[in-house]
Amino acid sequence: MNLTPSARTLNHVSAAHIIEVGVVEDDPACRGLLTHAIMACDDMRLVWQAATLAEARRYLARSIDVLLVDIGLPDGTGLELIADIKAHQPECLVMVSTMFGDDNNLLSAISAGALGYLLKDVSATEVVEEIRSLHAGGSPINPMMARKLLSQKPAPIVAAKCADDARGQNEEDSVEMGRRALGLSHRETEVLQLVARGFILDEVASRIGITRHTARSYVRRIYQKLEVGSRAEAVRVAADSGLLTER
Amino acid sequence: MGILGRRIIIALSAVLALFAILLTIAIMADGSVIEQLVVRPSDAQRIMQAQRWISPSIIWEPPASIDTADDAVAAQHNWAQVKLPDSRLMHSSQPKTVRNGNRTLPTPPLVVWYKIAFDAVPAGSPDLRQIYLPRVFSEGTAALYVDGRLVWHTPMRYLFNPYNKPVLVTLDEQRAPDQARPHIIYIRLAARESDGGALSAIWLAQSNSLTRAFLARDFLQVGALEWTWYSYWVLGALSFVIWIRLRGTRESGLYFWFTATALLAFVPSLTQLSSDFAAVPDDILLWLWITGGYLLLICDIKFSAEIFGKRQPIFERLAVIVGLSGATYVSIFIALNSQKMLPNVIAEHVLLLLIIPFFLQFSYLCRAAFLFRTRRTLVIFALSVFALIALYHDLHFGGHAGGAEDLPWQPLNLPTSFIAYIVILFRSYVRSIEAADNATIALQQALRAKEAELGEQHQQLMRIQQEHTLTTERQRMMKEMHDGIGHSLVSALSFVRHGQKDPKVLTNVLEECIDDLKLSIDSLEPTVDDLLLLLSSLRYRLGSRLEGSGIKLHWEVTDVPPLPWLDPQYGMHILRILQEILTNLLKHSGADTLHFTTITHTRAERAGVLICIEDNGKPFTLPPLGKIQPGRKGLGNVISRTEMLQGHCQWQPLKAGNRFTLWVPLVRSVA
Repeated sequence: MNLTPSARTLNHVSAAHIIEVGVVEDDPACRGLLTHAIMACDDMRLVWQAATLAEARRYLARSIDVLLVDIGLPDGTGLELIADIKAHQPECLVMVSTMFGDDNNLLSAISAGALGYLLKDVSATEVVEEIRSLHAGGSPINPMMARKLLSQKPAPIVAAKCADDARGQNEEDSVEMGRRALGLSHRETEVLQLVARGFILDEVASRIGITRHTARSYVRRIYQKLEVGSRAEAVRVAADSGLLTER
Repeated sequence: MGILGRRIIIALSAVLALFAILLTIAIMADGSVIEQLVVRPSDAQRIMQAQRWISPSIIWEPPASIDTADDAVAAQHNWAQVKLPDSRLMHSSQPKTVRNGNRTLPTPPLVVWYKIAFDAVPAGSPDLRQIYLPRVFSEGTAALYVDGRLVWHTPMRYLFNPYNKPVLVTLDEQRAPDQARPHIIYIRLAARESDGGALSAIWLAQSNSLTRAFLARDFLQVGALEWTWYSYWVLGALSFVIWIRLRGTRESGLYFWFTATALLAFVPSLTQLSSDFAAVPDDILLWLWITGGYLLLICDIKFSAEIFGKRQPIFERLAVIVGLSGATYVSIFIALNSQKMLPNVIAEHVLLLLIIPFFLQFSYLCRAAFLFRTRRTLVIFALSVFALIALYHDLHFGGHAGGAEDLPWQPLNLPTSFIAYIVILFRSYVRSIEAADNATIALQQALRAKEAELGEQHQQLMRIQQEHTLTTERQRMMKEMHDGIGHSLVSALSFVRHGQKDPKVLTNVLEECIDDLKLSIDSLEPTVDDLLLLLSSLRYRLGSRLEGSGIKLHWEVTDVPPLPWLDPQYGMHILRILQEILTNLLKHSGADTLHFTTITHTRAERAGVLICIEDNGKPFTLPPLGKIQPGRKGLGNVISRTEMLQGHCQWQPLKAGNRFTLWVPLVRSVA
């Protein structure tokens, strides 16, 4: 495992400020890997680390740039922590660590405000690369995620609006439905479709004539739309159940 | 409306009905009740006494005036005092009847004169204005003379005299009030001796006060009957329309026979309304009356059978035979004899035959009433008993033994049976609607029961299917665990046990284990017939390892049609085949570039998709298929998995590199 910072990393230090990171992981081995990788970088600083939800909640007030969080924690889910950190530090970028990168929890995490994910079996180099990329405004994606985003069910209001022209079960329709559900632009939809066909973001970028960074920022925008959509849905549900009645 | 209001209405209706029944009975018992109710005694005078003389005249037609009478009636002094009403004018001392049956020599009539002398009206009071006869009956002619002048007479008829038509004569001549003078009224009746005649009391009035009495009696004796006829015909037409709609159903018979019955319902009362048929010859009316009676017998019995809902086939057949043969016989008899015989003679020959259908119908109804004892049969039986009594009454009256002012009873048959039939038809109509409603409800219940049953079966089927799916999936997972990660872990273990210390090799083996695991996980993803998504997950899992080995991957997939059969199991087969090939390439070819392509491709006339992997390394031949490679699951699986896909695979060493192709069909044939 190569923990030595690369030349590129060093250049980065001089150009930007230190990335302050928080880590929540219950498995000591994984946590060790992550913290070592972070501490080995000059451009990153491990501000705090926690093994449980309760422990992590104690650090909520401590300002960080990036939070690495495991979904499955002994005393709760990482999703709760995402909501908490978003409430305390809306600018904090959340990255979820996942075993396979395709589980439904990942989508829930993004809906809750996460903007990236990290596979648990990646090398230390890849860990820091992902953190940097996230901090620089990009988000990762994989074919399974793209597929799930494309087949998002629209919220009831949107569904009613597009019920006339998006009937049926075939792919065209479900893609169209997903596009409308999240309010995706055609370019964003195109990115998702190419990713679902197995192209990596670099290939997607060159295919549609954009830079790698732009492609990654598209993905981030999509995640943000998913979060906004889910927040709107939550507001709608709350309004329906009378929680928002004016006093 | 409250219950109290409804009770008041019912009580009022009952009182009214009772009153109507009592009035009807009173009028039926004594017809003069009508006049007593309507005429004020001060307005008119009822003459109950008259003088009668039986004339030797043999002339049917009445003379134009008293002065021109052949029997010099005005000069007669041999008058007998009689009470009015007077009937049964029989038994003349002179036997004048000659029955030769020859139409050219008509039977001479018995001529009877009545004379009423009306006292002189005192000067200053109005003169005699109206003469009203509730009934004059004569099977021949009848005529009324006032002061020697003919003021009213019937047409010459042997049969079908308008005896039910009351007579009202209003005198137009106005005399000077001071010219008080007496009036003499003559009434001449000419009829066959055997037929007789009758004369009611005579009403005289000095004003128009008798018109009301005339109208009341006219309505009761003629008008009501006519209205009943019309109502029958209207209902018959309605029933006919219903029959056309229902034709062919079980209910249709009721409406057909009601139509026929309604059409002929006027026949029995034809004699009572004969004044309206003055232009129709007697023999035609006689034919209509008797053949109509026979046909009505058939219709009545058929209609009754439909009402009862129970058949008496022998009676019904007998009715048809008797009805048709009777009608035919009478028609032929009248046609043959109408030139030779007078209508009344013909009537004597055929009338008696009517006893047969009458008896038949009566016994039919008796039997039905006795056998079925339903409310309907009893009502209809009661009606027919009443019809019998009415017939007796009217015949008795026709024989002039009864009061000449009595109303005939037979017309009452018509309205009563009319109401009864309406009620019965209405009830059967309502019942059929209810039956339809009930049928609908029963159908809905049956449907619901079937739905529930189907739902249960469906649930059961779903359970079985679910269990089957679970079992299959479990078996598949077991196989994948065994062939995939299980095998990889065993290999890794044996490496360590055999002293393998190189961390690079160990890392490689463990990475392979994780790849196997990831592919197994990915195969669980519902790819929904999307081959490219499946391949993209393969790239996602293995891509970084390929690039880590220094191989540049060119992803050159094109859109391919959906594969409907692509479920997790078949998806896993495809992933494993490609994984196996990629592993082999990595191990043996030493290539630095890899092209991954998909295209639609038709093979042996079957549409399909071709997956192609091409490298630029060292060409090599795969070991014999099926042989287990150390550390790997063996290429034998590639062949067996391809067979399961109904596909085709090929390994092809090139000049510089190797090419593997896997072809899968768009549609798998059912094994």
